Amino acid sequence: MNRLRTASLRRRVTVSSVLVLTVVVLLLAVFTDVLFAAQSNREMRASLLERTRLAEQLARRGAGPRELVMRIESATVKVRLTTPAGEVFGHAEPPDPQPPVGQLYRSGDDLVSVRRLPSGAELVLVADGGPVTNAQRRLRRLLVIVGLFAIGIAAFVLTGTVRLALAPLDSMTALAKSITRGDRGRRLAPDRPNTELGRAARAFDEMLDALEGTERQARQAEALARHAESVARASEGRTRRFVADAAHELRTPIAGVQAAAEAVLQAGTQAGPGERERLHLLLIREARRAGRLVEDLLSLARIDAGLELHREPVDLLALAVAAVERTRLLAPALTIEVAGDPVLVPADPERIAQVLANLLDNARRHTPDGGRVGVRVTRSGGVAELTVTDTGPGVPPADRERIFDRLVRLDRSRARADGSDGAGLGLAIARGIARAHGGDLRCTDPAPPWPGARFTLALPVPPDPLALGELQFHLRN
Amino acid sequence: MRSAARVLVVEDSEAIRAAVLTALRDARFTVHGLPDGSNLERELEAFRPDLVVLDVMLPCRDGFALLDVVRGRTDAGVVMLTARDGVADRLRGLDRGADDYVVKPFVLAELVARVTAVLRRLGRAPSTIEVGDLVLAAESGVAVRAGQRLDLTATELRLLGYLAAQRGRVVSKTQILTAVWGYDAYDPNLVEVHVSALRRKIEAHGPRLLHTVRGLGYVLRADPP
Repeated sequence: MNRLRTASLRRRVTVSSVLVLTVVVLLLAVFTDVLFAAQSNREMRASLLERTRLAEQLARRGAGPRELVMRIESATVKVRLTTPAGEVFGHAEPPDPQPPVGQLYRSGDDLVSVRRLPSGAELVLVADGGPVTNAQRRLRRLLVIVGLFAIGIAAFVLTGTVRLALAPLDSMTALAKSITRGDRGRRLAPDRPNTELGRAARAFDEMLDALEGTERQARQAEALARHAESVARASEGRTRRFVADAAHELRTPIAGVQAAAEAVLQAGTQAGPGERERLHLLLIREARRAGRLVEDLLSLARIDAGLELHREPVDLLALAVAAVERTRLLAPALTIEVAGDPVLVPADPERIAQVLANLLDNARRHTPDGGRVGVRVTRSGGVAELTVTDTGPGVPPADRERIFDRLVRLDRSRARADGSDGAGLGLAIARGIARAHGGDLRCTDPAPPWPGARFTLALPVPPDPLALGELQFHLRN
Repeated sequence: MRSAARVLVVEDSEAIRAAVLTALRDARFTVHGLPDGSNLERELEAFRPDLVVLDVMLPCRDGFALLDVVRGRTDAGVVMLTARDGVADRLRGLDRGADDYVVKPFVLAELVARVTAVLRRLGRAPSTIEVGDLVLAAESGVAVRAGQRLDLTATELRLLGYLAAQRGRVVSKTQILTAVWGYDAYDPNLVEVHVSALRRKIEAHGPRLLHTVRGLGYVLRADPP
C-alpha cells in the first residue's frame, strides 16, 4: 500500500518562501543595478553633449584653444584640441582608434565625442567613466551584501513565523488525539470549512462519524448475536426436555407391547384361541400406538427443521368434506356437518388433511354420543378460515393456549375403547403445519349455537387475482 | 397347476423377517430368508426367486447396491423396505429399478398385497382365484359365478378377496375384522353383517361356498367342512 507523502510543511513553506524572496531580491538587485547604470550613462551623455555644445559655442565666438580648453574641461570631462597646425591642447589622452566625427561613442568606460571646429581644429571630448564604474561597483557590492543579509534574516524569521502560522494544524492534531483516546462524541467542528484546515477537519469529523456508526453497528450486532445465542440455548433446553418427555411417552405403549406378548407366551396352551387372539390384538394396537407417536415426533422434528411443503391449489371445502366422511365412519353416533363455500388456497394437501384429521379426531373424542360436530369454511379478504366446533364440554379459557404445547393433555385419561389417542402432540403438530403455511391455528371463544370447543384454522389466500386465477385454472385442469 | 412363486426376503431385523416369511408362506408362496446380502449372488443362483423383498438399510452391503445385483443377474421383481419415507428416497429406489417401495412400519397384509401385485404383473402369480365355480379376478375385482357377475359393494369385494386368499382355511371374526377394516375397528358385528350379505349374493347362483364353523369362524371352500 502506498503511504501518504508527508514532507515537513514547515520546511516546505520556509524553503519556498526563502526561494521566492531570493528570486525577488535578485530581481530587485538586477533591476536597481541596470537602472543605476542607465541613469549614470544618461547623465554622462548629457553632460558630454552639453560640454560639446558649449565648446562649439565658444569656438564660434572665436575663443582661442587655451581658453576653450580651460572653459570646457572639468572634473569629469577632458578635452584634446588638435589645431590644424598640429598643436595639441588639453589633458585627454588621444583616443585609439581615431573615432569618426560627430557621433558619441564608447571607449572602454569613457564616452568620447569628436567635433571639427569652424577653425578647422579637431576637438575630442572625453567623459570619464571611471567614477561611474566605481559607483556601480560599490552599488553592486552593497546590493549583494544587503540582499544576502535580507534573505538570511527572512529565513531566520520565517522559521518562527511559519511555526506560528501552522499552529492551528498542531492544535487540530492534539484535538484528534484526545478524541481517539476516548472523548468520543466530540468533533473538531471547523468554523470555516472552506479553508484547507477546515476541509481537513471536516474530513476527519466525517471519518469519525462513519467509524462511530460502524462501532455502534458492531455493538448492536454483538448484542443481537448474544440474544440469538440465549434464544438458541433456551430452545435447545426445551428440545431436550421434549425429547425426554417423548421418550417417557413412548415407554407406555412399548410396555404394553411387551406385556401383551409376554402374556401370550406365558399363557401357552392354557389360553383358548379367543383369549390368545385378544392378547395379540392388544399387542398390535399398542405397537401401532407407539408407531403413531413416532410419526408425530417425526412430524414435529420436520416442523422444527422448517417443514418442506409441496404446495398446490387446494379446495379447503373439498378437503373438509373428505375428512368429515372419514370421521363419520369412525363415529356413527355423532352428527357431523359441513358448510361453507369452496375456497382455494396454496397448500400442501397431505399436511392440511393431517390438521383436519386431528381437529375432527379431537372433536369426535370429546363429544359424547348423540352430539354434533360442525365444520365451516369461509373466506374474508386475504384469509381462508376453517372452523371446527362441537357440542362437547369445550376448552376452558385458561387452557386455550396451553393445549398447543407439546405433550400436554387436559385430562389424563389414556386408553380409549377404540385405542386411538394422540399422545398430546396432535395440536402442536397441527399448529406447526398451519404456521409453516403462513397461517395459524387458534382455540377461540365458542359462538352460539355451538357450546363446545371452537378451533379456527386460518390460511393466507393470495390477494393477487391473477395468481388466484392461475390456481383456479390448475384446479379445473 | 403352476408352481408356487418363489420369494426371497433379505432383512436384518429378525422379527420383521420372521413375520414376513410367515405371511408370505401363508399366501402360498415358497419363501427363503437372508439376514444380510453377503451371500446374495449364491442365493440368487441356488433359489432362483421370482421376487426379492429387500431392505434398504442392511449391514455389510448397501440395499441399493444389492438391488443392482438382483437386476443384473435375474428377472426377479424387487420390493424394497425402508424406514425412510422421504419422497427423494422413494423415487431413488423406483428409479433404480425397484418394482415397489414399502415404508416401515407397515401392515403385513399390505406388503403381501404389493408382493402379489408385482408377481401378477410379472406373470408369476395367478390373476384369478377359483373356489368351486366362483372366479374372482384379483386386479379388476370382478366376481363371477356360473357365468353370472356378482354385484358386490366395495366392502363385500374386500371381504371376498380376503376369504378367497385364505380359501380352505378357517378364519376368525377378529382376523376378518382386522384384515378388511383395519386394526382400529373394534365392532365384530360388522363382520357378521357383511358375511351374511356376501353369502346371500354368492348363494344366489349355487350351493354354499362360505361356511360357518361354530366357535371358530368362517371358511370359503367348495366342500363343506
